[in-house]
Amino acid sequence: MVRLITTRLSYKVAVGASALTLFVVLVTGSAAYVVMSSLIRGQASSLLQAEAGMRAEKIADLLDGVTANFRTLAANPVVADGLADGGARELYLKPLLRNFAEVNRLPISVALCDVKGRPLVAAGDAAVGADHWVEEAVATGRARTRVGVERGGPVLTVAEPVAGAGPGAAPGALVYRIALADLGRRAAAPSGGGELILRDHGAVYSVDLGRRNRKAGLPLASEADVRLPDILGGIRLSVLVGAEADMLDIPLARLTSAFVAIGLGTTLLVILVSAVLGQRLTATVRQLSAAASGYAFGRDAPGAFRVMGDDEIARLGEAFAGMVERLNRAYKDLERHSQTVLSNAERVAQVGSAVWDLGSGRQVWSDQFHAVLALDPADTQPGESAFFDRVHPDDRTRLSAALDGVMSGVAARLTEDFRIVRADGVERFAQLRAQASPGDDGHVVRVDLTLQDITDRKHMEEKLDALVSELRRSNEELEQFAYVASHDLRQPLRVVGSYVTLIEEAIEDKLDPETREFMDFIRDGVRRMDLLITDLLAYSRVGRTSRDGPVDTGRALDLALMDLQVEIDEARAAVEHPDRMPVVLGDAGEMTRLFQNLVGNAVKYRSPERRSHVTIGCLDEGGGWHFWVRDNGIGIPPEHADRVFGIFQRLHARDEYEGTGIGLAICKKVVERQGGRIWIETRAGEGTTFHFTWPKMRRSSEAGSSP
Amino acid sequence: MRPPKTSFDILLVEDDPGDAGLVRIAVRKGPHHVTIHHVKDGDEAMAFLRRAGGDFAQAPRPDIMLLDLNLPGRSGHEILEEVKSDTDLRKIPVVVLSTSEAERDVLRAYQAGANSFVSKPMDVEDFTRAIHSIENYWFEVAQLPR
Repeated sequence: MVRLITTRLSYKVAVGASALTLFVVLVTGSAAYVVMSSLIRGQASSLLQAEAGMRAEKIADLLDGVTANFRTLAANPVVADGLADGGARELYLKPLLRNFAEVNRLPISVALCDVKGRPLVAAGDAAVGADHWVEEAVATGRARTRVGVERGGPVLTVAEPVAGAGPGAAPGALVYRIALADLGRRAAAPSGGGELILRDHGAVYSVDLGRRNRKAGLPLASEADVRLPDILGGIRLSVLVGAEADMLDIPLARLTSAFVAIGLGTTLLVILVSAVLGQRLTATVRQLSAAASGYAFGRDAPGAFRVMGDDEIARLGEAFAGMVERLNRAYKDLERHSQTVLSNAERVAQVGSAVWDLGSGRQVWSDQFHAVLALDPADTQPGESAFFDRVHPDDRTRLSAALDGVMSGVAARLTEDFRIVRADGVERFAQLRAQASPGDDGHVVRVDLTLQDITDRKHMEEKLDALVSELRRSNEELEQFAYVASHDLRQPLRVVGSYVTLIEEAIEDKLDPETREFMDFIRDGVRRMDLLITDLLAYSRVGRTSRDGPVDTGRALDLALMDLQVEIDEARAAVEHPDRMPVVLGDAGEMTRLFQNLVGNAVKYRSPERRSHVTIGCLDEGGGWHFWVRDNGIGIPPEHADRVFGIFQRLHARDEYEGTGIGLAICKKVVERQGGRIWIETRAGEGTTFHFTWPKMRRSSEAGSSP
Repeated sequence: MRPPKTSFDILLVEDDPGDAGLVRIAVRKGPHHVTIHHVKDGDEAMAFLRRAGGDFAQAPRPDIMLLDLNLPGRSGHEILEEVKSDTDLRKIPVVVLSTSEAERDVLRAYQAGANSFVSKPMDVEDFTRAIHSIENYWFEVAQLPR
């Protein structure tokens, strides 16, 4: 990520500089090209102009010469003589004409024509004269020029009237002709191209100068008029000189190549320079970025650093360095503080902690972790072997397998109790808890561990276990005893009672009243003994055979009253109870017995002075129910109020009120087993109220949350 | 309809001679002609029922069996389970007579197939009445498969 940021920055710098350079090179290159090419064009054009002028001058000179010679010829008296005298013509004029035709450095034909324009004598290659316009020239007496086209191209013909020798002699005309092509050939240049253009009253004739030119392809051309002698009035002759394509193309191509080469070179140089500069410029930023990234994503805090220089980047670096320093300081403070808090907490809780990095295999143990194993942190290299060295040999395999399960991700956590042999040789019980932390790929990368010395707790648990099993055994014995008592104690008692009755029947007529009374005592003793045994059994059974569930106290009361119907009828007692009674959690049989004993007691200890009145009530007290059974009986002296719930506790002589003294003890046991309380409120002679409370039925969803 | 029986056989399994005596007296006072075969433990009871050994080779098949639970050696429960799992004997009505009123004894007896569970009344007259109602029910009212 760091690399990406910095390379992109230098890359941007290089690209920006290169683009800018390329732009400048392109603009200046184009401008230079335009300027240079127009310069080249201008130069070429003035060159051409000079060339055209020079050639035009050359042709003008040529024509001037021809014209001068011609005038000299025309003025010679031989010419006028030649008109009339045929002999003179041949003898004198002909050599003159031949001389003229040859002296002019270009092929020229000349003839002397008569008044009708017919040639009388001629010199040169081509035929001259015999045209009506020569006749006109003779008739008008003015020189005439004519352009015609012959097989060899355009031809320029000039006629000069000549007066006859002597008065009355017939005039004639001297005529000469020059082929335009011949004229052009004399003006041709060794190189370059051009043409000679002849314009005559709208008609245009032209011949090439020198090499053949591609007129259409001429990128540049220059034209110059040829100065003509008066005799050639009426026509216009000009020289056109054109530059060959090469003349412009080659310098322009060279120019272009030079520009492209310079541009490319410059651009490459700029790219190179800007890349290097970019790297150098971003080096500081890159280092800063690396430091920041190291701090942001790295495992270790970066060291403090300084940045040299006084530019913006350096100032940023300074600020960053300051920030790093402050962060480091804060981080260290925080770490020190949390370490202190943690180690204090561990010392107080006596729980050691450790972190196991599975990647590096490195373990870090807290001081308390060392303390549990009685190891000195200074001399200990935390690790798997250092730890297992302290595990009791018999427990190593089990613990190792459990830890393997956590490390391989089979189990997310473990809690294992095992023995340790501390460094000081003392054997203790310890508890190891481990929790796996999976990495991004789901594999376990770290295991967090806590270690606690649980020896004291272990001993306590062992004691508790021993107590529980002792209690369970004693309970079982008690149950067995109760069972045996119910069977084995009552059996002989029953036999005794039965046979006393049989004996009494058998010897009934021989019994005196005293013996009969003795017999009654025996039977009564047997009956009371049996009652005691069954009540004692009932007492011992409370809580052992109970099955707790929802109990409708109204129904339990109804059942109790049904059982007591005989006693209630006998006492002619009035019993009042609420229409609606709550449903509570408890054992239905015990609840019935509770009401039976309390209402039974109320009816039994009735006052002989008034009709028995028993009131049963209940009240919702929020956390529990409050029940009471109130009578208007004989009451209990306050000094005995606490004793009534004791087992076998009787307050009255047997012949006054019958009872085993177990009934209320059973009531107390039933109520207290449910976490309730039972007490009495009494006044001797006025009546007694038995109160008891019963915790409210806990709903299953709240089970365990309320005490 | 089979002809009404006039004499009955009761197998009494009871180790306490006093209790056994009470049963005899109660039966003697009753209206039926009953022979009481008294055995004192499980081994004797099974020998009687299976007519094993010299003493019991001619033993009759009892019309009902009165079984005490508290016996020397095998308990009454074990004897009951053995009788009720024997295809030949399972049809003999077994009335458990016990001093115990413990729920677990009652439940276990009925689960093993006891036909009745009677806890011995304390009073001799009640006891006699109980025995008479047992006789009445099993000799007069109940139709027994043979």
